[in-house]
Amino acid sequence: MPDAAEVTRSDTRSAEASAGAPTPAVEVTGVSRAFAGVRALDNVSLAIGRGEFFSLLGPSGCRKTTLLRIIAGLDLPDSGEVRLAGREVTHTPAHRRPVNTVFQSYALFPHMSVRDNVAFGLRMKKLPAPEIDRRVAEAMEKTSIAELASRRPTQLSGGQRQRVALARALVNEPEVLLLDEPLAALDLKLRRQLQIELHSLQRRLGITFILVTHDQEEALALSDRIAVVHAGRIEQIGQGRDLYERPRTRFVAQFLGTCNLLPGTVREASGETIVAVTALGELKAVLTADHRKLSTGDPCTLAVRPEKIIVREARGEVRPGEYEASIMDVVYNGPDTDLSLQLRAGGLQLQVCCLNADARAANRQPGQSLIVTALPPESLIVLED
Amino acid sequence: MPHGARSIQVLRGEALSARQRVLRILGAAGPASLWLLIFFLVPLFLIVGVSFLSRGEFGTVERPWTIEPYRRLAGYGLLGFDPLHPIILARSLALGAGTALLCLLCALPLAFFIAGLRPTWKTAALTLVIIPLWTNLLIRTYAWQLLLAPEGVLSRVAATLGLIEAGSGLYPGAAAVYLCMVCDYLPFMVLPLYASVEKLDWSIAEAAMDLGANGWNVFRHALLPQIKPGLFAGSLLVFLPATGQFVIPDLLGGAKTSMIGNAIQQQFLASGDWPFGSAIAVVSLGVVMLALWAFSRQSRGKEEMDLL
Repeated sequence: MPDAAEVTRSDTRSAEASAGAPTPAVEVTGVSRAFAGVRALDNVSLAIGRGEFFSLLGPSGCRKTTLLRIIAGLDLPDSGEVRLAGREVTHTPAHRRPVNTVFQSYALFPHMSVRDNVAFGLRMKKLPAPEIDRRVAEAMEKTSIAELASRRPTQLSGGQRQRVALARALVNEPEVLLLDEPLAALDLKLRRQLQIELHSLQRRLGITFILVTHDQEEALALSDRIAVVHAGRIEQIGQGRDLYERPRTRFVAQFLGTCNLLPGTVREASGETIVAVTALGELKAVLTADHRKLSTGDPCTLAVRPEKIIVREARGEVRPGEYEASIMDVVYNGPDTDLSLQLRAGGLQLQVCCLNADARAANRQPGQSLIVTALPPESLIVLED
Repeated sequence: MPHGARSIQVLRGEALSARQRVLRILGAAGPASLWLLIFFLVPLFLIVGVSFLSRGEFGTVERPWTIEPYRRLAGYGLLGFDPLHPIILARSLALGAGTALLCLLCALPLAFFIAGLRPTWKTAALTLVIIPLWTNLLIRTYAWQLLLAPEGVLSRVAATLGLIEAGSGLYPGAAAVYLCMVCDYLPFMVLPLYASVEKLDWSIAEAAMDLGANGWNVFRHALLPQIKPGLFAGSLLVFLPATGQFVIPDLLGGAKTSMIGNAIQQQFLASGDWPFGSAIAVVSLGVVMLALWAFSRQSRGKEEMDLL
């Protein structure tokens, strides 16, 4: 049951957001950071809106955690600026920022009970004891750890520790909550359950969440927007759907899901579409607005997602734009099947994903022949590099 | 309940009969237990026993059993009440506690400093900490006599700064005693502290910072609880021998003040009063153990109370 204070607060927040140009909750401008001469973050800029669920997604070692630590104040950038709710905090120490973190290792205080762990932030603020008690009880209620109050962190399971870490951060009612791979140490089922809880908690509290994760499904399921981080730079920022359907770079296309890449050369370029010569012959693809101009003769890479490729049984004649193929490998996933196809002409390999809608689709075997139907221009993505 | 000696226990994946288990325990703990029995427990009981006997004529001990030595120790002597021995005991405890405290204040920053060094420098720094122990205690103490003498550089500097009267020395005096004590016992504090600082989980300090703790609170709530075992071990290793120390106060304190060690030595060697010497030894052991018990309750008690 959300209490009155909470509702009022999220209301004022949405009111602020709608009134004129809202100040972003977090604004990172041109932040760079090097460790022992090696560039870790390279001129990173992003703005995260109030009440947004934002994810930093990237493979391990891409420095997404470094960026999070800089926002938290646990690390300082070599250059650039960090603003929280419009206030410049680049050199403000961590304990004076209205930001709290859920650490990957949880970093619970081992010598304190769960209740004392949760109360820590409020005690540091020297709030009156009755208020601390009330807010701690409330936070433990919200994260369903009330019955663990007098236990020690060592007596808790991984999922319970995660909730304690969450309660310990949320009880401070931070402007921004930073989550550093909070679910990475949990098993799959628990992770899915906590993802749902995290999502509804964020919706209920209206606090800005910044989640660091290497799990693309997690990022897609939870976030309003995602920044894909690669080698210390932001490759692309956008809603999950945009990133998946219209990735701009090869890295984004391949990191979020799988992708068939078709290198080629531009034959014809008009404002909104191009025709490129690839191993599959001439293909027409739609350009998105933010693509740089491609002209005739430029090399380009087309990408197509496995589930956008439609196959049919090898019966009847092969129409123009269709390709004969044989199945090399079959991976049955339950709702769908992944097929590795080898095209008769040119020997090109394609990854295809078909829904197991009927018995025939569910029973494909290696060695069978199929026909790949013509690829519609909307299913083809033009990558930048 | 399994039947008698045929019972089999599984220990770390091995099936052992009762006899094998007894043999194994004897083999592992036997020699050390025997050693402790012969050289610690038996002498301890002898001392306790002697302390309740009477003094013989030529430094021997004889019956009847009496508590006279303890009465004398408490101050009720032939010449009426004189709290000389309680004062000596208190002075020794104060020396031990003071030394431990000063060592702690020096060792804490040092341990953090060494733990922050690069691996090669760490080894060098730890070696430097240990090197003073390679010299005999007496030689080190005499060296301090020379260094702190009235005409020495250190005394002159202290006199110039107005810390002591011109022409007098730092030696003999309490300052010289504590200086030498801290130098001698510092390694015993630094090493265990360093061991616990080395394996500190700094993410807990970051969590505290993140939750609004300033420098002092980060230390108090995130670091101190983690290094408590080292702190406790180091304090013990300094407090115990420092309490019994009598050579340094003797040589650097000007032989004016007696310590518990001096008192015991005097009774056994000079006065030939074994029962009284034993009584002093037993009481000081008891007081030290009491202090330790209180200290250990203080330092880890609270959390365990929570659990119970």
